[in-house]
Amino acid sequence: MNIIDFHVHPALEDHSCSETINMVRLAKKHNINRICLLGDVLRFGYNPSEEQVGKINDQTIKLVRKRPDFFFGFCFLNPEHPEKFLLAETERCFTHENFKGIKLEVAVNASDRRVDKVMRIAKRMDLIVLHHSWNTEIINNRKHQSDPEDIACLARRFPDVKIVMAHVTEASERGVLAVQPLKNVWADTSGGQPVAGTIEYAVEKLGPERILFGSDVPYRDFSAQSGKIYGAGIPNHIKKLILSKNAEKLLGLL
Amino acid sequence: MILDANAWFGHWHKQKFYLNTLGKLHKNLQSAGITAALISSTDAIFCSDPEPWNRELIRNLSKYPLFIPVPLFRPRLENREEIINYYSSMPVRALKFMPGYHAYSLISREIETVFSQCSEYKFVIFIQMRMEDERSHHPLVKIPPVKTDEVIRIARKFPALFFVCLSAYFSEAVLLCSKAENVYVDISFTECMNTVAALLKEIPASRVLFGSHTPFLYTESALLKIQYAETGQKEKDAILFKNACTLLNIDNDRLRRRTF
Repeated sequence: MNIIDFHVHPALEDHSCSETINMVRLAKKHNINRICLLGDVLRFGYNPSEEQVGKINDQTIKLVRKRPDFFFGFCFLNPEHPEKFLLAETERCFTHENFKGIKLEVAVNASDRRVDKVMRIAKRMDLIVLHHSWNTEIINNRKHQSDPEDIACLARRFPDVKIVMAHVTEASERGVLAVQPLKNVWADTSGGQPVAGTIEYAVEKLGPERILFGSDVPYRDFSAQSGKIYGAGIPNHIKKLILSKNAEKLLGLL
Repeated sequence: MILDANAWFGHWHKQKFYLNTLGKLHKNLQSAGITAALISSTDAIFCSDPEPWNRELIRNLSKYPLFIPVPLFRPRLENREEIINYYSSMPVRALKFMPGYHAYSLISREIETVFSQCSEYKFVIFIQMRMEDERSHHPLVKIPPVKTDEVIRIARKFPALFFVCLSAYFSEAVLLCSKAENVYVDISFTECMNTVAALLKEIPASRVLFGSHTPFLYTESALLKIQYAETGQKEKDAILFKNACTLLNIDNDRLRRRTF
């Protein structure tokens, strides 16, 4: 099986690429053959400058060029920046092969209209947008943290853009239900503790074809995160969809 | 062989357990290759007197040889001495303390008295650092994690007792084991890239136990951490069962035959 990890962050200070080489080695041990690199998005805090965004993307470009057989790139953007910069940065990343989408983190909440600039670019260029998300009932920082309901709001405004909501296992049941009717939203399984029952619930409510395996390495472990899928009480053919086929289809590899 | 130091049975207010009968839980752990599991009652956690739940669980475990009960203990109850005496006759002497959920500090005269008694009977002290990631708590049920400095202080005060800290995060596990020689940790909540190899760079394998925190977490996640651990089989065996067997005074033969 060609396992694809949809959610990995390289470390920006890894100038020699030794950590990345180690990451690839460990991924292969887990039968993970392709990884989506989202950039070291929190390296400069919640609200990185244009220069800092550029540095993060420089590294993603470097790694994708180094291992095009292994990495897909996502262009990291901060929606606070002017549209001119956002477009230029996106085009800069997408001059390289194997870039597949845009990554948005915590600079601006997904429901904020400033995100529309990015979404218009994604729509025009037919790019996937992978957005951070977390259940904000407890972490209570909705200025930055996008709740699944905020992702749903964004998805309704841009029904033609394919959106991946990160961290579905931390979305809570309420969060899964928030995006359930929105067919342009996929969910990745990355991050958080491997809470039992969350994958089964997401499969039941979203359907097996809208769920993508992700690890959130290096903050998390390929082992514990893939254990969520292997340990879930779902049929093997659905596990294959989550680990591989859904991502292949979304990334246009089929 | 695998001895799971961190298993539960019962209900939880914000998680629907698929393993909601002892039969299902037993089958799941057995098919995962687990030889024995230390188990406590989730229903006992929020009760001011956990004893009815502890005893019910113990009664119901008789049909399932895989499980070893670890009663929840509230040290501020008036009948604490009687309870310690009662459990001192159990073949595996272990008590689980939950300072976060039961709202007490480990630094108090009461606790010292209790731990002195536990020393007499050679109980192993299990301390549940947390039940869930604090970012996932119910908004009206926010329970603070156990303070690592309190564990370290009390562990140093009772060097003859063994303290097993369950569900500690990676940094907490490293801190606890490096500051007190009689503290052990499980792997259920420790996580980073290449978890076990990273952990063993910081603390010796002799201080780490296998714990899955089933049914809260997927059992496979803990199993795969060990399966893919970049360390020798000797270290893996220590984590999987040998350390727990030594602490709880269970020999390999007894573990294999499940005679607890």
